Amino acid sequence: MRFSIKKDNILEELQLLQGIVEKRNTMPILANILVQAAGTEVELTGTDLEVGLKTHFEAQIDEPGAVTVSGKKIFEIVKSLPDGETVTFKEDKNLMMEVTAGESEFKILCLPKEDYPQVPEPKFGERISVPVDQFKTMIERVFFAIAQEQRYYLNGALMVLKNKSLELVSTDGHRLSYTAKAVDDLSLPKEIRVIVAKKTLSELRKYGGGSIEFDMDENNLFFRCGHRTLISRIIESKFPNFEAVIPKDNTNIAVLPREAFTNAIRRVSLLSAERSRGIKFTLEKNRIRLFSSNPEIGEARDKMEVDYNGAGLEIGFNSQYILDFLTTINSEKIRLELKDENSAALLRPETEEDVKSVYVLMPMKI
Amino acid sequence: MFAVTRRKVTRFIVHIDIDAFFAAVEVLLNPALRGKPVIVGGLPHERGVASTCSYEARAFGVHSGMALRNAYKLCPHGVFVRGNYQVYQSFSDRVFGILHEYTPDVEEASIDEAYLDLTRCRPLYPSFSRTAREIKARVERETGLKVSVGAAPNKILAKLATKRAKPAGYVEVEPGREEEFLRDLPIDALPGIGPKSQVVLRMLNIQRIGDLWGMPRTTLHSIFGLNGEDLYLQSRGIDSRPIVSAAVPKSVSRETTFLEDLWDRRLLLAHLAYLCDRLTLALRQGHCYAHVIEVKARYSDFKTEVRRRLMLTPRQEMGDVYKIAEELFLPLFSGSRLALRLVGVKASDLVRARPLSLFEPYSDRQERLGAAMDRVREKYGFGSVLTVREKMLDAIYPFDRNRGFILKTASLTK
Repeated sequence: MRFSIKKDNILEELQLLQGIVEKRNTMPILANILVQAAGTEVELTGTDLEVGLKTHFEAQIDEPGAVTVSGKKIFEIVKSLPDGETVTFKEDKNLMMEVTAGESEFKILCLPKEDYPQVPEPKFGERISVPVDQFKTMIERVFFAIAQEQRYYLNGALMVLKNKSLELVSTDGHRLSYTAKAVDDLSLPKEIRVIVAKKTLSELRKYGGGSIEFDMDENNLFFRCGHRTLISRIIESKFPNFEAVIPKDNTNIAVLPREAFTNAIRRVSLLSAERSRGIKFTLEKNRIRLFSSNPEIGEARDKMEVDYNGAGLEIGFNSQYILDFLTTINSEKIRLELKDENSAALLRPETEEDVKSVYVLMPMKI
Repeated sequence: MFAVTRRKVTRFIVHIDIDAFFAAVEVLLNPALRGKPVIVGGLPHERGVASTCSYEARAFGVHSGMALRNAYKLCPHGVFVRGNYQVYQSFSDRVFGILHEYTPDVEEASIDEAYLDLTRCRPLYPSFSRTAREIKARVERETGLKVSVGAAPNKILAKLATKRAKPAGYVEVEPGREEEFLRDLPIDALPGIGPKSQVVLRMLNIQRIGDLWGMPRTTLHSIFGLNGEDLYLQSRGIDSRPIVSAAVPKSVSRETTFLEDLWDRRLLLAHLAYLCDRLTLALRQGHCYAHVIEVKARYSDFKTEVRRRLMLTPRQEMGDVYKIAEELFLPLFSGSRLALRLVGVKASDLVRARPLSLFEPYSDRQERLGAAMDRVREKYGFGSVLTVREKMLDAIYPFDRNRGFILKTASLTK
């Protein structure tokens, strides 16, 4: 195998593969990427067996072939070379890869391509496609509410594809973030519901431009964005019944300026208890008061004039959870819809945007 | 609510320590023990260590932390008692109750020890020294216990003063006389100087706190690391730590050693349930919820194993905590061929606020049940309501309706 390419045409691909390859040393070959050169194109593949990435691009190929090398080392080498340099990759007889550019020369150990795990091939039969930017916005809006803990089914977001709409939902058991977008040319014989791994979403956030195409088989999800394809193992478990916990009869509604509300919460949360981040909200006619206290530090108060006609209420929330939502949406005003101090609250932008958002948050007993 | 420290304001910190606390309570409950060497912790033939001993027992060389068997060798005619934590706790509560009347800045350092900061109460007390003596006299009069009291401009000096005041004395370190006070104290009086550090310091010919003053800060740092910094400051009587009055405790735990090693699954679970009951009572009293529940098992070969679980929703109710404790305990039990000598439960990562769950419907049933149980027990004693599982301990332990079962080890943890 031997091919040459400009540094700038391969560096970004190598960088993206960094996010995919396995960092822990369980199976050494998973730290490698598979490099295949054939025809006029080079294809790079990385996988940790849960999430994989295939990317291909044109290069000047002198001799076709395939080999696997350390994803980290090859990235570091290419990155260290001067910009605009042409880099040549060559496999020698002793399972070594030679990387040369200008006066620089590297030889790195390889592993045989036969040892590399099979990464499934997508078909992309039905065409389901969404603009990348909007899909990224949707990911931002659910990403923070994906649980960090071991409860398997929650370690990802639910993707629901229906006729003319795409939805993403995430929850950690205390809050739930839901986002939806109308996709006019989407028509499906039947609704698709799959859990997408957190890592996959995190990688998709890095892609830019154009649109994302989606396909799936029995075990895998495929996301194609230009010349890159992300392959993600389906998380086999049941997502909780989220429709049931989105409140429908919250009649105490406050309309708040998003930025001022965000800043007030930030200020008051400075003195909330370290672990729980709890702050107390008191709602009365046209006013909301915020309060936090920490016996080891002190206490903080703030108040705001708001549009509120509901019942008098005193309710506690984890301030970080509210900030997570407020900082991912753009609308000027938000609606806070409450029932009572023990029931789920609903937050949403006051005006419907192109990407719809709903945030459900359980109160906290303070 | 907060201890205020301004520049140039000399603080007045009082440290109070109850003398030979557990032993003193036993003497109060049974005046026939007065003047006798009393050792609390267990009976001489039992396993375990002495948790407190009276001054009469100390005269024989018995000290807390000593194995009961060894204590018996030194002091065969001593009176050995198992002790009861609940009784000690109620005495402790009475002492702290009095302290809280004098200033809001009270730090309860352990069951028998507290710091008071009188500084903010200047307008109330023309003479802090007189007030400190008055507090001492009142605690002794109203509880019948003897206390040692130290007063000084900061916590470390106050604590060292108390040590000097023992037993039952009052020592005050006036500002400006710190050096004179510290110079001749033995180095092991300083907190953090254990047997190992003592050996190192002895090799450097440092016996008294005054000897440390010649050591440069950098030298102490290179020998003891960060502790060296503390040592440098503390040996000079410098300590700016504030009084922490209402801190959420780091953890709450309850454990017990059995009278003899146990292998009966039902009895082990009965112990576990009883400890969980005690533990959750303490959580409710402290208005805390725990994110982490930990179960400890010690086998007859002294090997100790711990299992813990992190919960997204923190808990404080007996039913919830026991269920988790049982799940954690069963593999420890069934995976072993050895009998057990100790079980314990610990709640940590404590919070005051409880986040509600989206997928479990909200109900205050458990909470109301807990509160109702607490009310009944307050009126009729802890032993008045017990689960059937806990009742199985009837076969092993003496039962008192007020105090519940009298287990072997009186736990010292707060």
